[in-house]
Amino acid sequence: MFEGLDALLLARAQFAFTVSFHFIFPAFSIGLASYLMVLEGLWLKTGKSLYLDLFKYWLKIFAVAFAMGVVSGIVMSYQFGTNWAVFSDRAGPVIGPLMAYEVLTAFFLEAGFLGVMLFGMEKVGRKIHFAATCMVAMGTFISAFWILSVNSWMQTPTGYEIGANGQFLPGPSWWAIVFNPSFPYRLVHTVIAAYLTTALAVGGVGAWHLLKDKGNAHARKMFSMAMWMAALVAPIQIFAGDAHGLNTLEHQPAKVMAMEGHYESHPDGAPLILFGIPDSEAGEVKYAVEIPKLSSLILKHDPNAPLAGLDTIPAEDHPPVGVVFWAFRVMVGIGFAMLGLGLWSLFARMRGKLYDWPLLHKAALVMGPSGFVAVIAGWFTTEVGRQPFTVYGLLRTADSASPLDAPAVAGSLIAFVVIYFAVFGMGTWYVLHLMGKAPRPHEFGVKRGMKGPIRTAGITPGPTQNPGHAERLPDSDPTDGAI
Amino acid sequence: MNEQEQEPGRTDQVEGPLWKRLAWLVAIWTASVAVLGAVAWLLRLWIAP
Repeated sequence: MFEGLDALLLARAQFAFTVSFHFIFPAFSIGLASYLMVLEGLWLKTGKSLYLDLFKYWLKIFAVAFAMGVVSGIVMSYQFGTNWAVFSDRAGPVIGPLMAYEVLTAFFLEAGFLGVMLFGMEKVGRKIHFAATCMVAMGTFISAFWILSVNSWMQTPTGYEIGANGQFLPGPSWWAIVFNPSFPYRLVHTVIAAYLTTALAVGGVGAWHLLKDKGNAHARKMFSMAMWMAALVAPIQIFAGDAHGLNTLEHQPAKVMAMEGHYESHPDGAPLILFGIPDSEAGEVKYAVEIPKLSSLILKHDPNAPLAGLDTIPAEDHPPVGVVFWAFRVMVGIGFAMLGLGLWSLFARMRGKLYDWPLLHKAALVMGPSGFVAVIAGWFTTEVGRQPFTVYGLLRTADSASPLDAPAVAGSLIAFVVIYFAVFGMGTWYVLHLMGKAPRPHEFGVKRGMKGPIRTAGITPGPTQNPGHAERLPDSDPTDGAI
Repeated sequence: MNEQEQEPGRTDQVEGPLWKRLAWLVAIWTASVAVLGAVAWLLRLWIAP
């Protein structure tokens, strides 16, 4: 049935599919862990229960996202062995230890302390619980550190030696491997992207509930915090992205040529092609809308600086231009849309209308999932731009795959597609279901019955009326008609 | 009471002795790591039996 298909293409499709699914979840959980740390810290500092309510609200969502991220990540690490055995064998001595650190972090910092976050509030006390939350936030960052170091080494390999059997072996300094030339830029750009992704998602949820009830104090707080992030961090991200692009130009020029759609060299200054349809057969971008000299100005800070094109690189080393070209534009377009939303919210805040402009809330709602699209588009840009190599310039993708027949790879690809859509589809539906519920005073936690005390009068806690059964308190929301 | 003001009943709970809270920390942490270990092992069985 699958004999006519290309096993290498199927293996690449499988990895692209699984990594695209996977990347959604850590992009969310990295930012959400830090947001939870901030919320719990503010609760401990100010004593305002609103922060605790928001903490409990987002903790449930974080738990689901984290679980899906861990499970989809474990699958990917196994895929290195099943579909990319040659790559694993050749590059394993270098990237293996770094990936092991990532796994150790995921197990012992993230997963271990996540359990304390979820179930330990009443057991370990507030300060130890906050320490656990900080460990999870730190763990997500450290995980990102190691996995991005691995990925960056594949993009800009340094610090290695080639063994007699053709393996990449660690050289005299591990620092040269860990802190390879593209790593600092990729780490900053990706982690900020995760923070922005979370901010936009939180802002979108806040906006949704503001559209339904603009007096909801919890929705107001989360929307305000999210818009501060969008306004302050989106400009930083644009600068970080620019710096990352210049680094890429230095170390992976073919990727930048594909991003820019520069098939031909431009000795007198290259135009910035805004839109167009790359045609790799013809070696041109058809229907190009371009601004003269601007690409040279951005990349070389000189409008007349020469820029080499793909015509200076052997055809067999060209990355697929169309995917890189469009993925890059999607990412950049969303980045500027985030900046626009942040500036709009600043204007509304200055006018004292942050919670009163439905159009702003609708825009934030539409932009809610945009971070996920941007990080996947960015990932496509950098990964497809690395082609046709797995280890840039040294090991070709075609030489990295396991010696499998197409039916074997196709069978597992179909299994992944079916199972991922079923499992992660349900998980995503549940996250959306949780987001659809408005955060409320005395927000219930992960454990049933972790709702805070029922109040009979004033501030004196009363006895629990229905321990472990009711999902909300009768008096928690006078508008829901529970009584 | 304004919901954003401090609620003593939620922030000034009586906490147990430190040794007991640390014991809970170790127990929950260990159980969580073990659960993830079990999940990873099951996935390995599924992908590469």
